[in-house]
Parts: sequence; structure tokens; C-alpha cells
Amino acid sequence: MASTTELLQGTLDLLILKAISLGPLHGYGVLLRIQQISRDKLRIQQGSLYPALYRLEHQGLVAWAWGESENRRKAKFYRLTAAGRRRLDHERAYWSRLSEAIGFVLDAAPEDV
Amino acid sequence: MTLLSRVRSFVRAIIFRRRLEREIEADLQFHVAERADDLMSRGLTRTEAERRAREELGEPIRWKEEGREAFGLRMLDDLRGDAVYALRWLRRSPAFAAAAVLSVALGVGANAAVFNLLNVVLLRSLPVADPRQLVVFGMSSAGDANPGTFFSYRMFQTFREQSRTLTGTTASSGIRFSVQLDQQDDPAVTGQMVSGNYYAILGVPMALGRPILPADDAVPGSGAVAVLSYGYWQRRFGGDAHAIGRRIALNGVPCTIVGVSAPEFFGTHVGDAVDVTVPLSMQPQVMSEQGGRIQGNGVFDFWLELIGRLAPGVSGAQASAEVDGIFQRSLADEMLRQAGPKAALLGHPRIVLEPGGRGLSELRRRFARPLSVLMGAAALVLLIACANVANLLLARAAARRREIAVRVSLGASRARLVRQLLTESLLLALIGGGAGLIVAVWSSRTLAALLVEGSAGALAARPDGIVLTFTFAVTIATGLLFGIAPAFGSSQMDANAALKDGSASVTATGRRLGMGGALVAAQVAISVVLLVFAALFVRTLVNLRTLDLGLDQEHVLTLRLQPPGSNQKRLNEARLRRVYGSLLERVRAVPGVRAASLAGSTPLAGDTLNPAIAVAGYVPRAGEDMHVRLMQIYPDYFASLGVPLLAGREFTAADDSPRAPRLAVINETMARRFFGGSAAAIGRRFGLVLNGWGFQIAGVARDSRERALRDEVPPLAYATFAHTPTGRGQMTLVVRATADPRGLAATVRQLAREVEPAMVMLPVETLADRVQDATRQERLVALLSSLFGTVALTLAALGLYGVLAYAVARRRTEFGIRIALGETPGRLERAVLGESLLVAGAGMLAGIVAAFAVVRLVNRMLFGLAPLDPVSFGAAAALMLAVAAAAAWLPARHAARVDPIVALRRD
Repeated sequence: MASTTELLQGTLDLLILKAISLGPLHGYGVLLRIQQISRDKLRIQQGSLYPALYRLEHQGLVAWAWGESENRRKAKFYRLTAAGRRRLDHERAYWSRLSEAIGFVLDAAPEDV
Repeated sequence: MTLLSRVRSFVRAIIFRRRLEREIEADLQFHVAERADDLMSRGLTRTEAERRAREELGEPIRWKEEGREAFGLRMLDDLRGDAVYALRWLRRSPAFAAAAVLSVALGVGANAAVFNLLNVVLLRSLPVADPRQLVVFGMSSAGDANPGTFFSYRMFQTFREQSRTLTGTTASSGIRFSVQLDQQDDPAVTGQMVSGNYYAILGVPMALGRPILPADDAVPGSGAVAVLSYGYWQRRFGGDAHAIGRRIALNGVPCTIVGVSAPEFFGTHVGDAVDVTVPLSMQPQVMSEQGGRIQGNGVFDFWLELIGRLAPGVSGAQASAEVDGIFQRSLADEMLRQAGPKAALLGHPRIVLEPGGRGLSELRRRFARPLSVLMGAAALVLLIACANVANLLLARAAARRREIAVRVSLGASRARLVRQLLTESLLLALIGGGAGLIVAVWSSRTLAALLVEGSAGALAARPDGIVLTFTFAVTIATGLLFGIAPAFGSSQMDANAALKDGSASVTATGRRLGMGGALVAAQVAISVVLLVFAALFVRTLVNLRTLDLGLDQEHVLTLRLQPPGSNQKRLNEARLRRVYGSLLERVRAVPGVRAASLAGSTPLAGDTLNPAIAVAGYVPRAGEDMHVRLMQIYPDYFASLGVPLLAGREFTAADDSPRAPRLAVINETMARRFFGGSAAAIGRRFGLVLNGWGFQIAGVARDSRERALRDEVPPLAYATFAHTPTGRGQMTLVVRATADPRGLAATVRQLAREVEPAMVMLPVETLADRVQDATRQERLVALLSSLFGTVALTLAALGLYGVLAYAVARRRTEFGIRIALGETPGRLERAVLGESLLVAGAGMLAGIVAAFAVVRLVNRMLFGLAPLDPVSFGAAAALMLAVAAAAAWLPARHAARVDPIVALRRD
């Protein structure tokens, strides 16, 4: 069994929202943050991060501003908008309900059926 | 909310496209640089680290492409690609492109042009503040189709003071001004008198100076100020701002110019551009025929048109109810009392308020129906044009089978293909629609001039935003209509079969003309309908123009005279007689004048007294209408119009005296109806019910259509100036010349000015001008419907020719074989001709049936013929058949001339 998990379709958006909900990040920072909070269990194709960020920007869920990285490079720093924060809360509630339900189904003992 | 942000982000992406690309680039470069730094810190060399970083990122091109897609730009790119491809495709086949664009241009142009007229006359709001809150006053009795729109000054004052549902009520009245400026005379300028609140309540925009204010209108006889229209200011003052403060004489009364209204404001009467406006208080001065008193203190002097503005939150119905209540409480009884014996005629009048945002309009009443019919005709022309283009596209689609098959086999999705093909159709439609719009703009002034004969610039005819929107919508709909079937048809093809099968199959004769044939049949059908309409309208116009009016149309000119005090005939009778008598004396002395006289109303103007009569020795049937027309005339009237007397004699100067016995001349219709014939009427008597005056009949004149062109001649009696019971003493000078009467116009005006320097006159018109004017709507309809018929015929012929030529080309192999097997060219030609005439014949039959069903709609617009006029139907069918045969003949010849060897070797 592999130690990393392929990302489910559509969950990348959620991860990005979660990552930047903790504070503004540049694109590469988002990648590092996701790997850190998922304890390196999720594998992301690095470039696919950007189309996902732009989709979120297009929907008005994230916004960005120019800033400077620790290595003194000019970079775009993404942050959550109010709409993004609402979306994150909504998605979080949905995921916890879903995983609870799936976990319940999978853990069902023979006598429960 | 997210939709809003998407749209915003999409628009920003389009506008700042380059910046967006740079930002995406910045993200990716930064990523690689930071990643490389990280990798170097783990011990990789710089080159190795950068290589690894790029590898991990993946294809930057892909991320950029997906990034663009995220902002919705991909669709735009595809669209641009499609459009560029479509343009290239159109350039490669110029004949096809020209035919298609021309078809669309004609179809859309016809619609845009007619819609523009419709918009100007029927739809457009007045360019004032919040036109939707305006209401027009009307007064109607039970059973009245058209409410009256004129009110007395008393009524106006009462409504203005008492209404709470209206924030204001304004009054206006039309007038002709003779304007004098710098010794130069403008004889008949359209003017109006308005209440002081007119500009404020309507919210009329001003270009210069100030509007007329309530203070100007405060005291009758004061307030000598005038506001000019923008157009008049331009024409007469060259747009000089110093015009403000200058004095001009209006009907001899000096007034100061205080303002110029904005260019878009033509007054509240659509089609009657007002050039000079004065306050109502100036009425006693500028309308000298009123004899220096403000008119209309009686409830019956109807001369004002009223427009009100609804108070906020009040509906039209509420205001209507309130104003009618005021009328019934304060005025209705008084009206009935004053009416005396006429009261029964009044019925029970009610006040109704109609939406007034579009102003008042005589034009609207006259042209509403003709314009709706023409709009329908234009829509039919567009349908034919659509069928034409669809046919062309179908033929093209067959020729492009291979191209499309290649694209399908290379993986183009069906949706992608449909989009490409629809883009091509829409591009065609947009080019054609643009050309059509140019046609409409270019023709708008000419067409508008047909609506308002002779008064160029009386209508703001230039297409506005509504017309542009309409044209754009029609264009897009057109593109979809003709594009959608061919697009889906093509996209459904079987690529394999199309690629394998190199040429049209030898036996492809199943459906000979197929879809194209059906479209052509439909075109023929619609063309026949349009041709029938055109024939009906042209014949109506011809009937009207060749109608024997019973008058000498060619040699008569008319001049309406309103000398001072003429609205109080009784008070000023002696003076009026002196003026009229000396004018007639001078006019008759002018060389080239054959006869001259005066009449109470202008021929073909239609306004006369309409009294009820009793006839000695005639017992009316129960409920018989005993009203006749009554008009005052001077001696020599019949000679001046060229109307012969059938019996008895005309009036002489001696008859025209209060002391002389009352005599009448009646027309043939009246003589026939009440006395059984012309000769029998002489010496008989009739009386007016209203005042009991009796008249003895001295003469009978032949019927003439001097009242109105279309109407049946009514019973009509003529009496002398002295003996006609009316307060109105305005007369129309009628002059019959020995040659073209136009040469006399200036002289006659000059003479009228000499006998009465303060004479107010309308422009001189010939009888021929008036007939021309009376057939205005018939001419517009005949002109446009013939134009549409011709366009339809041409398009249908082109369609037929195109479909046949294409079918013949496709069936070359078949024809080759048939000739090789011994078919003679003559038989082949006849066979092809027969097939096409079958299609045309089917279409024609359908068209005639359809025309049968719809001609009823225009019954009221016809004159002198029935809607199912056999001549019109026959002519339309014959013309269509001839054109169809001509269009089919050439392809049939081609079919007969196929060389079997060449045709068979080709495969």
C-alpha cells in the first residue's frame, strides 16, 4: 500500500482554501502548507495548483496582492475573501458529514445490517 | 454573487489580457525559483535543482492554458478562431458570400426601415422628463370610437385647479404664425400656444435661454414672449445665440425670444413639429380672428389639448376616475344646459385619461394600421431571405462534406462543429444585418417624408437605440434561423461514408430537390402573398388617383383666410364682407384667373356643419338619419371648382343679403334622396331643426368628392354667407386658373395681404396637392409593398435558380447515362423544367390559399376593389409563374446539354 493518496477530484480547491485560511501565502507556499498539514500524505501535481487558484479567484473566493517572499522575491500572495471563508465553512461541514457517513457504513458490523 | 464576480473577472480578463498573462507567468516563475532554492538547500547544484524544479512543475504551457480557461478566456479564443476561419471561408467563395449577404441585407433592411417608422410614429416616447407619468385627456360619449381630445378653457381651469391626482395639467393649442423678422415674412410657421406650466410640468429640455413660465401666462393679453424650436432657430437664425432677446412679429404682434428648446423636442404632436411657442395669454393678440377676446369661456369652445402628469403613486385609472368625477360635478350640467336642443346629441360625455408618454398624434391614427401591415410584409421578406440563405448553406454543406468529414475524423466534437458552423452563419448574418442597417438609415428620411408630406424635419426620423437593438436582435435571430438546420445536419454526418464516397452517387435521385425544394416552395408561397398585397395596394392607389372627383383638379388653388375677428362672424360681418368682397374683386381682375369664390371650408379638408333638417313633403323612415352637410359659399363657387349645375342656378350677389329670401343649392345625392331627382328638387323647401330657418332650393350641383376622397358623397347643402347659421367667418379662397394655377400663388397672397394687412393665411395649395396629400398613406403602402414584392420575387427566383442549378450539377452523371441510353435533350429539358414547375406550382397554390386567408386584414385599406380581387390574384400568380419558369429554364438547358462522355468519365 502506497504511503501517499491520489487527490479526489475537487478536493484540491478545498485544500487550497484551508491552506490560505491560516494566512496569506504565495503559490509555492500553498503547496508547502498543504504538504505540511496533510503530513505529506497527499500528492499534488505541483503545476495543477495554479489553474485551481485561478478558478477560485474567478469565483471571487480568493484574492491576491503583490508581496515579497522570505527569499526577497516579488510574488503574488493569495488570501481568502469573505465569500471564500463562507465557502470553506460550508465545505468543511459537508466533508465531515460525508466522512462520518462513509466511516459509519464501512465500520458497520455484520450484526448491524 | 459568485456570478457577478465571475462576470467581473471575465471582463477584467478580456480587457487586461496581457497583464493577466504576465501574472500567470510570474506565479510559475516564482514557483520554480523558490522550489529550486529549496532543492539547493538540500544539496543539489543550481543547474540540477532548477531542472528538477521545472520537472516537478510539469508543462507550463498546460498550466497557462488551464489558467486562461479558468478565467473564461478559452471560449473567447475559440470564438475568435471560429470567426477568423469563417471569414477566410467566406473570402474563398465570394459569389456565395455576396448572395447570402445581399439576401440578409435586403431582409433585415426592410425590417429595420419599417420598424424605424413604426418606432417614430407608434412607439417612441416624448423626449421629456419621465414620459410614462404623462396622461392625455379625452372626452367620449357612449358608443364613440374615437374620444375627442379638445377641451374648453373653462374645463382646463377646472381640472387644473381641482385635480389632486395630477401634479399638473397643461394646455396647448396649435396655431399658424406669419413670422416677420428683418422685413422678411415667413408665411405659415407651425406654432402653438401653451399654458404657463407646460414646460415645467412636461419637463421639456432647453438648449438655450429660458422656457415659458407661469408668470408669462398670468394675465390675458400679456406675456409677449416666444420660445423657438431648435430647428427653426438653426434655419432662421443660423444658430446664433444672440437670437435670445430679439423681437419678432408673430401675426403682427411683437414678441421677445426668450429661449430655444432642445434639438430632440419637436412638440407634443408627433409628426407636427412646432417651431414657435407663445403663452396662452397671448391668444387674443396673435389670433386676431378672435376679435381680441380670450376664447373659450363657454364650456363648448373646444380648442385646447390637455396633458397632465400623474402624482407619484397614482395610477392612470385613479386619476381618470377623479377627473371624470370633477367633470360630472362641475361642468356636465352646464354643458347640457348650454347645449339646449343639441343636448340629446351629446349623450353622456365622460373624461378618460390615456397614457400620454408618446404624445398626441394624428399620424398615429392614420398610419397605425398601414405600418403594422407593412411590418408584417417586411417580416415575410425576411423569411424569404432566410430560406434563400439556408438553401445556399445546404448546397455549401454538401460541397463541404469532405472538409467536415476530415475534421470529424481528426476528433472535432459535434458541439464544436455546430459552434463553428453557427459562427459562420452568424457572421454572415451580422455582415448582412450591418448592410441592412445602412439601408435603413439611408432611407429613413425619405420614408419619413412620405409620412409627413412636405414638412421635412417634422419627425425625428433617425434610427435610435431601440431600432438598433431591434435590428441586432433580428439579425441574430436570422442567423440562427437559417444556420441551425444546416449546422446540425452537417454535424450528424457519417465521416466514413463521406470520405470513402468520392463524388455524388450515380443514383442519388431519391428526393430530387429535397430540403432545398421545400424551402423554394415556401419562398414561392410567401412571394405570392406579398405580390397579391402589392397588387391590391397599387390598384387601390390607382383607383384613388384616377377617381373622378367631379372637380377641376388641375386648375384650382386654395388659400385659407383667417382675417381679424373672423371667429365672431355676426359681430364683424360688415367688415368681413368688405374684406372678402374687395379681395374677390381684385383676384378676378388678375389675368389668367377664370373664376374665383370663397367657401366655408377647404375642399378635401372635410370639416363642415352637420345640422339635422326637416324636408317639406318628405316623411322620414323610423330612425332615419336626417343630418346633412351645410357649407357657406360665395357666388361663383361652382364655376370656381369646375362643378356643373344639373338644374336651377347658382347664387348671385343679390342672394347674399340678410334681407334676401333664404336660398340653397344642394348636391345630387341630397336631391335624389329627398326629392327623387334634380329637376324635381327646384323650388322645394327644407328647414334646419336647430333654429327653424327655412331654405328654398334654387339649384342642384353635380356630386363631387369635395369633402373627402374615400367617403361616399354625403347629402350636402350650400347656403350664402349671409344665411348660414355659424359663428365662424373664416373662408377659403378658391381660384380657378386658365392654366397651371401655381403661377398665381404669390399674386393671390399679395392681394390678400393688401386688403387686410393683419390677415392670417395658411399656405397656398392646389387641389392636386390636396389630393396628393389625401393619398399619403396609400402611396406609402403601395410603394413599400411593391418594393417588398419585387424583392421577394427576386429572392425566390434566385432561390429556385440556385437549387435547380445545384441539383442539375449533382445529377450530371444521371443525365449523362440517360442521354447515353437514348433520351433526347428536349425530353430531358422538359423533365427538369416540369420538376421545377411542380415545386413552384405547389408553392404558388399554397401562397394563394394563404393570401385568401389574410387579405381580409387589409379590407379597410382598399378602395374600389374587393379583397379577393381576381385581377390582383391573377396578376400575382402569372408574374410568379413567369419568373419561376425563367429561373428554371437555364438549369434545364444545362441538363439537356450534358455531354455523356464527359459526365461519365468524371468518375
